[in-house]
Parts: sequence; C-alpha cells; structure tokens
Amino acid sequence: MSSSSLNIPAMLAIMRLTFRRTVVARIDIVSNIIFGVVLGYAMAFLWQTLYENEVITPSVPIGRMVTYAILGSVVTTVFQTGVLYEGNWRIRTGEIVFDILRPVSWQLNLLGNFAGQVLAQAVAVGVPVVLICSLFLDFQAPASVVAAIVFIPSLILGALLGFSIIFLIMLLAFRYTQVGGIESALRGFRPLLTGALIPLWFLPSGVASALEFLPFPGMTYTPLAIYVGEITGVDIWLSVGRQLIWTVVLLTFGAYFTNRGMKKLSIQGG
Amino acid sequence: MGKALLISIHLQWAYLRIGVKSALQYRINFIGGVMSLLLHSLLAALGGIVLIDRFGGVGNWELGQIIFMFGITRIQAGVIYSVFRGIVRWDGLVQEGLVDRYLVRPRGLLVQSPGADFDISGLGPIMAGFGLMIYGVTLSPPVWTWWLIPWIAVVLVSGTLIQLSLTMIIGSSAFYNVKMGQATNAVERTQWQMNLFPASAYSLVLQGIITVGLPWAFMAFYPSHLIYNRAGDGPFGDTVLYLAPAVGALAFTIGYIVWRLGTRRYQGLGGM
Repeated sequence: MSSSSLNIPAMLAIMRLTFRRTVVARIDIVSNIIFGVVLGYAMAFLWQTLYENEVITPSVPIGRMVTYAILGSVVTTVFQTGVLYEGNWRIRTGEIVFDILRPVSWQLNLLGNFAGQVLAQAVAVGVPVVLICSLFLDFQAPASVVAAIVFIPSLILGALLGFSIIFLIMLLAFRYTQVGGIESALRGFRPLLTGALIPLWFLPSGVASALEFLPFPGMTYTPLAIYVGEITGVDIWLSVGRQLIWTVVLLTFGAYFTNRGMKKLSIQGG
Repeated sequence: MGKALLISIHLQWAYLRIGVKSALQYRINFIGGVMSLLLHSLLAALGGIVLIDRFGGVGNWELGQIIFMFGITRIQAGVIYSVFRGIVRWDGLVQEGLVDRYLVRPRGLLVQSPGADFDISGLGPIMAGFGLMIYGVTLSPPVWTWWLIPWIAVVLVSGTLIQLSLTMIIGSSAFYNVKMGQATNAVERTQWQMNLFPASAYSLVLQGIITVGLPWAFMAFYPSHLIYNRAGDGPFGDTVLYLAPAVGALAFTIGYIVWRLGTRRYQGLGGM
C-alpha cells in the first residue's frame, strides 16, 4: 500500500465533511431520535414485562437490563449508515473511478465516510435518545470506573468491526455487481447477531458460545455488557482483545480484497 | 376509472415480470437477497422464541400465537419490500434530476414506483411469513370457522395498506427535497422489532401510539384477537378488534393524499 493511500489527514477531512453533511439532514435526525426513543422505550418495557412473569429469576437485575435495552437500541441506530448502499452504487455505476483517483485508499475513504456518519448520529441522535429515555426509565450509570473508562474504546472498536464487516460484504459487488439484498438482510441480522436485541446471557449456552467465536458480538454486546457490569475483571481485557484482533484481521482482509477488486476493475477498464 | 385501474394492474404485472427477469441477471444477489431476508425473518422469530420460551410467554400470549402474528407482519413487509420499495427511493432520482422522464409518461408516479426499483428479495420475508404462520397455528391452533381464512386474507391486505401508507408518506418527502434515507431504516427497524412481540408487552402509552399514531397494532395484533377468540382482552375495548380493514383504507387514503401533494409540489417546481 503506498504512503498516499494511508493518508490519514485526508480520511479525517472526509470524516469531517460527512459529519457536517449528516447533521444538516434535520428530518433524518429528528425521525431517528423519535423512533430511537420509541424503540428504547419499547424494549425497556418488553424486558419489564418479561421479568414480571417471574417464571425464572434472571441473574441480571431489571435496572441493568433496561439500561442494556436502551443502549442496544441507541447503538443499533447510531451504527446504521448508508455506506454499504453508497459503495455498492459507486461500484455498480462506475463512479468508483473518481474515488480511486483521490489521494487516499478506497477503504480509508469509506472508513472516513462511515466514521463521519456514526459520529454525527452519536452526537445528534444517540445522546438525545439516551437523555430522553433516562428521564422516564431506570437508565443507570456505568457499573464501575473501569467499565466507564473501557466502554468508549470498546464502542469505537465495535464501530470499526461493523465497518470492516460491511466493507467486506460490499467488496462482493466487484464480482456480483449488486449486493443490495444482502445489505438489507444485514440490517435485520445485526440486532440479533450482535446481541443488541437479546443479550448473549439469555441465549442457550451453546448458541452464546458459538456466537462468542464470531466477530458480531464485538459490535454491540461486548461494549454494552462491559457498561452494565456483566463482563468484569480480566474478562474485560479478553473481550476487548478479541474485538481488536477481529478488527485488525477483517480490515486486513478488506485491504487485500480491495487491491484484488481494483485489479479486476483495471482489467475491465482496459 | 375501471379502465385506468385495469391498466395500472397490467402495468404492475409487467413491472413484476421485468423485475423478476432483471433480478435473475444478478443470480448471486437474487439468491443471496431472498435467502438472507428469509433467514433474517426466521432468525428474528428464533430469537423471539428463545426469549419467550425462557420467560414462559409474554403479554399473556402463547408462543404459537406470537409466531403466527409475526408471520403475518413478515408477509406484509415482504410485499412492500418487493413491490412498493421504489416509493422510498425516489429521492435518488430527484437528486439525479431523473424524475422528469417518469413524469412525461401517461401514468402516475405511484404506479411507476415498482418499475423504479423492484426488489425480488422481498420473497424471503413472504416465504418466511407463511412458514411462521403455519408453524404458529400448529403450536396454537385457533378454533377453525368458515370466516377465518377470509379474515386472515383481509388482515394481510389491510396491514399491507397500513404499511404502504407509511411508505408513501416517507417516500413523498423526496419531492420536498428532504433527505430521509436513514429515517426509512429507523422506521423499519423499530417496526419489525416491536412486531416481534405482542403489543400488550409494551406500556399503555406505547400501545396508544401504535393504535392511534402509527397504527401498527392493526396489522396483526388486534385482528388476531378474533382469530384466537380473545375478545375482551385489550385495553381499548372490542371495537378496535374489527377495525383493521377500515384503518387500512383510511391509512392508505391519508398516505395517498400526502403522496399526491408531494408529487404535485414537485411538478410545480418545473414551472419556477
């Protein structure tokens, strides 16, 4: 990879531009806040209803579960971007040729785009939704000082993991042109596979163990479980380490397959 | 009026055929799209099943009944996804300045929407929905009477109209030059997660919102009270249990008016 392709200042500039472009879409922001609050409330009440059944005695107190449910709804909303759709569209229409002329690799270009959207949604949607929900629901502070400190880096790693997964899926468009259907399904899978809807501790142990070997729980479950104190002690560092390894591996795969995709694109161009 | 309707139906059929043929050109996306949306619906149901099974039901509804209701909403979502998805994608055409070529055609933009963006992947949720409905009635069989199948058909249509109404309202924003891409995702995400569980699992305020504001509870929850003989169960009386067709028609009318206002406004821009 050439030094110009790892042009971090250029990526940060793309991120700033995308941030501004995202926060000015006021209707988008307002509707995301409204539906974020509705979803947060719905999931919080769902857990309260389930706990009231008293069929089992969950090990996690209801206050923590409500906090997890609200954060799960918020993180799912914040991590939802249009990067995969836009990238696919650029490959399909050939607009990608303008992207690859830029002094930054295509992967970093889209990472800047993704980071700008996520950051804008975190500030403009995530924070208001959490504040509104915490007015009426039992939203709790981080379980410990360590949890508070590790939560943000873990959340950033979760976002990077999310990007690396959608980027790999988007690269399929070099070969198959259209990956819109897979993108739609990914939006649906995400709350389930990442643990945003149902935390791993409520899943059958076999399913939870299998999921822990995959990168998906690192996107949402790990940071949230750290926040509410369900991952503690040395497990915090093991979980964050797992997030880091998956992120590096998937981003490396992304860079490798981007280069292969570009070669295919050059051949078609010739 | 009758002739126009026939032409519209003929056009929809033509768009459907073109959409299927076009989708088959990208076979991996076609198979991947259908399979992944099918899996999404089934996986969502599985998540719900695991949770409900662990907690022994939710909101006084049995597991089979909940699966049946979720199946109904997946079919409705699948129809919208495949046939009417183009309605929320006019914003791209507005930004590209490509709407004019649709405006010069002798049919309205609504009828042309499937042609603007037909997505066969919606077959996935439709297939999953039928599977879930069958599984649901196997687990919790209703008392079968002569009107049950026609009532289920009416519920499927009226729920689709409610969903279509929301789609038209969101889609019409394109003609006001408003960006609403993420809003569509937010609505869809909220809706399918809430539809996974009966409305009685939520607070009274939320039940009120999905009864009066966004009438999602009429898509499967209220009509299923009649299917499972649960009249007298809900917080808003028994009348609401019969209202799904009327709410569907009313929602569609409101959605259509908003859509028409939007498209008229856009046509007005050309004369500026």
